[in-house]
Amino acid sequence: MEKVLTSLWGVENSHKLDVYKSHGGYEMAKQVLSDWDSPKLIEHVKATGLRGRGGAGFPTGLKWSFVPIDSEKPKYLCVNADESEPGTAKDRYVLERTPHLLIEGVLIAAKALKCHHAFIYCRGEFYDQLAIVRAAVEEAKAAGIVGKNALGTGYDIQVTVHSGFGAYICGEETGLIESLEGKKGQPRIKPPFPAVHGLYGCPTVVNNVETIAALPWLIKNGPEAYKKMGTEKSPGSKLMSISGHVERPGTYEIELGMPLKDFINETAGGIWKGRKLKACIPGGSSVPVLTAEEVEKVNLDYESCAANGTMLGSGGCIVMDETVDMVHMLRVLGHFYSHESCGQCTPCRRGTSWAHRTLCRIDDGEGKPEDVETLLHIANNMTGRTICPLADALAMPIKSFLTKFREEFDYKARTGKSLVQPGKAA
Amino acid sequence: MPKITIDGTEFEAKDGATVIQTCADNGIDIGHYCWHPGLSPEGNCRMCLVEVEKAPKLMPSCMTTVGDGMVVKTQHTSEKVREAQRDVMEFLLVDHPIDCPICDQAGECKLQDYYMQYDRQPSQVPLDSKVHKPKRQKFSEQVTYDAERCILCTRCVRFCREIEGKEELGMINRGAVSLISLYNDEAKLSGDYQVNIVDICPVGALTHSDFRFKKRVWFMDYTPSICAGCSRGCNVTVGSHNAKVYRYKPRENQDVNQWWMCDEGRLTYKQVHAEGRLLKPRLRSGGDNSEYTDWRRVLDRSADVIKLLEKKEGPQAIAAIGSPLASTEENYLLKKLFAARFPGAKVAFPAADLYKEGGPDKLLKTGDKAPNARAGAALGLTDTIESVIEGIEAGTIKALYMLGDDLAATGPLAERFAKAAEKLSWLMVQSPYYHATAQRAHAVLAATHHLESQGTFINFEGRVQRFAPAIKPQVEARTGVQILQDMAAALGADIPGGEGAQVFDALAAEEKQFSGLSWNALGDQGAKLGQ
Ligand SMILES: Cc1cc2nc3c(=O)[nH]c(=O)nc-3n(C[C@H](O)[C@H](O)[C@H](O)COP(=O)(O)O)c2cc1C
Ligand code: SF4
Ligand code: SF4
Ligand code: SF4
Ligand code: FES
Repeated sequence: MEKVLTSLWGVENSHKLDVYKSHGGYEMAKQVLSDWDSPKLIEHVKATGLRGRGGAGFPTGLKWSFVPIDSEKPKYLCVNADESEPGTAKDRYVLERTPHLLIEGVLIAAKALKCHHAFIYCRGEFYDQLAIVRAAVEEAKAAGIVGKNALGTGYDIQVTVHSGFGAYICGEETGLIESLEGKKGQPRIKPPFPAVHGLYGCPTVVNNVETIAALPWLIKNGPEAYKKMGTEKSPGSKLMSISGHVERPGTYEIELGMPLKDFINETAGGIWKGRKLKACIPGGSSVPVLTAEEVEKVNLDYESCAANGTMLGSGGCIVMDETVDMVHMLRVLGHFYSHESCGQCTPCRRGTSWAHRTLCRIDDGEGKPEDVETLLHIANNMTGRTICPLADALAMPIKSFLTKFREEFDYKARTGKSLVQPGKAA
Repeated sequence: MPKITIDGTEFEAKDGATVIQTCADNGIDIGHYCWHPGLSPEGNCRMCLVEVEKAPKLMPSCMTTVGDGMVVKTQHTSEKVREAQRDVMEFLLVDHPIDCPICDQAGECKLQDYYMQYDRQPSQVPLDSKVHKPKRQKFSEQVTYDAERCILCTRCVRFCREIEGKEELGMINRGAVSLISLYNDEAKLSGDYQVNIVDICPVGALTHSDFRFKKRVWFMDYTPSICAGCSRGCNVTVGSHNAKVYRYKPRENQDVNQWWMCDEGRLTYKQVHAEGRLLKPRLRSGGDNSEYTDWRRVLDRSADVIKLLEKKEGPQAIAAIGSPLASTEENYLLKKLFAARFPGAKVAFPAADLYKEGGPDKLLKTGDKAPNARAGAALGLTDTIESVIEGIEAGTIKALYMLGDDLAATGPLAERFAKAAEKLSWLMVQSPYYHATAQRAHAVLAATHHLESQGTFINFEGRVQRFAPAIKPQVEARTGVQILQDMAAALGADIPGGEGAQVFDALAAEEKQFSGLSWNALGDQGAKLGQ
């Protein structure tokens, strides 16, 4: 498979401008900035079938086409580098290994959107990555790649790197925009959508790091080459991170449509210590969990995941072996989402916290049998009734854990004990 | 204008109106916390969800703009909506401290009301697992915040930002431990309208120092009235119980005060129980100071003296001064009494700037602390105070009947007036207060505060607004209207009878500027004078 995003991984100093340039870096941006116009770019990206890698898999070209390109207002591009979904560790590598690939993508997207000021909104905890990206932008500025008359093409493009303060919710696109504006990071109600009314009330596109970083390759190789990879509706490649009980956890670029079991067993070297697979969350902690049997059927593309009741999401694959206590696992997720709820809307603010406390009680052996039903009740009641999908991001795991591993919850709620012994294989 | 079907009935909506506003305009109630018609919508409480045909999820009606042909089902026809509202109620109450027994809002709390309307299920949350938050935090001398009761609807935040134009409050923290907070520990709310956030707080999270722990709201009676703090005439609802007034709350009037009132005006109800209140008539007999007496004596004695002076000096030796602090009806009866009994006598009215205090502010305060400053012009009381003072100084005016004002202590003419008053053979002051001018009077007629009587004030824009008695006249005070009628009887003059309402109808029938108005037609929102 051709590498769209990771061809420079492993190359020494791949984050440096000269190294990047020696591999053909910024040639596509130069071409695009001088010769391509916005409609041609948008059509090109549409034709590749590229889908947003931030989680929802929304077609990128289509998203761009919603922007009133000829509006008098400035158009903004925000690169979403807030990567905080548990299990997901892909954008961070793009940032630290190939920041110039991202910047080149930014130049291309900017031209498509007639945007002259782009922001890279970086997760606050990405301390090292922030320094690397900032240094890369400085390098690019000094080399005349970013700024006025970028690459000598006459196109002006300013790039600002902005650090978040450590809030998962600032990865939600409108939360990101609020935060970028200097306000508390809280999602906005949509409509209006950012494409029309985004940053500072202007048309704005928010795209994931991985989405943007794919653009140089797409310009160079064209839609046909891209569509040779992956499936019909999920073309191309995707960065997948895999963590948990596998022999070789890490981040890999795979061809979409790869069977999940091959990803676990071959790419990641299989379940560690010779143990058995119990469950897998394929696309970041907020997507429904799969049982070992289900893993057999699922391929890593948007459609196959959906057909099996889960989502490809951000590609954060979490693998659990037979020793994992599912009650405790869900408690950990409950802690995360209740801690990260921005708190503005009722079902999420109260629901995530109530669910988390209920899970703590069960997990600590202080639960009551009816607590399990209460959990379902909470999850159902917060689904689809909130401003952003964060509430669903906990409701989905709760519902799937309780459907697929119900006996573990009932047993612990009743007896105070776990059905599995953590760390001990059966 | 887009057409929308709500619960099976078609309505016309205003262009760009939200679903909840359209429902409100048509008398369809949708449960809501965060929406307030005077503030930008934020859609955070999720109480107002409705079913919209073709929408995949329930929609917050406060954030949904009406589109032509939209079909909406509210909680009145949709089980799905009722369920969602029940669930939202349950979420809101998960961590609620249930301190209703000691909460000032109990009885007028949207959590209580909606619990009865939408929820009615026992709590599934063990009390000991609730999230605790700070209680009794002072946002200012006037406003106290209880974070445990707060449902984070952000109405208070938006009021400060949008109405007062002050960035003083915000939401801090995340998730279940979110709070409303000032921006730093030393800050306090600084606005002149801050207590409105207590009114619009749908729960007991914000309380007003003045009302805290004073009265359970279900014991109180509620009377529509007018704030007399300035010539805006903000519409208020008076809360009272057992002859005591406990608070003002603003009452909506889009033409006057929208939903708001100023903090200063809000406390003016206190004057009804103020120490300087005059609750019995007084009479000076011989000495320098008047003494308490009964109504019979003060009226008879005043009538006798005035008749005597009239006989000796002619009717023009008797003069009157109306007041922008008294009701339109009192000023009118004063005028009628003099026209009937002392033809050619002066009936003056203080100049418009007597109660000017600074300029108007950006929101409501007019800077003119006289609730009825327009009454003089409306009734054609054109004589000036100066002309009366001159008459007294010249010795042509011997007796003076005054309504309300403390002219001996107010305005640029105070000193001159006080000196002139010494020369009067008979000074009669009809006022709710025993102020400096009343202290110089021979007869002091203990009049009611407007909260104890019925009548109208005309605001600075010429809007005639009614007030009704919230409490009965205290002790022996009498309404100004009655005192004037009693005085007229004692003097043998024929003036309109009845209470404020009847007097208003009589004056409306007679006075040109009031033509077309009647007590009933004024309603609770008032009506403008004809120009
Ligand atoms: C709670 C929440 C957190 C999110 N966090 C991220 C994130 O960290 N990074 C990201 O790229 N997208 C995140 N998203 C998705 C963004 O809202 C948005 O859809 C995405 O950045 C769009 O980029 P794409 O079209 O390139 O996928 C999050 C969404 C939600 C609801
Ligand atoms: S769902 Fe949760 S995170 Fe999203 S807006 Fe509501 S409270 Fe905030
Ligand atoms: S204090 Fe009252 S008005 Fe302010 S957010 Fe809380 S509940 Fe709403
Ligand atoms: S603005 Fe005037 S009328 Fe309104 S509350 Fe204040 S003092 Fe009273
Ligand atoms: S009133 Fe609509 S969400 Fe609160």
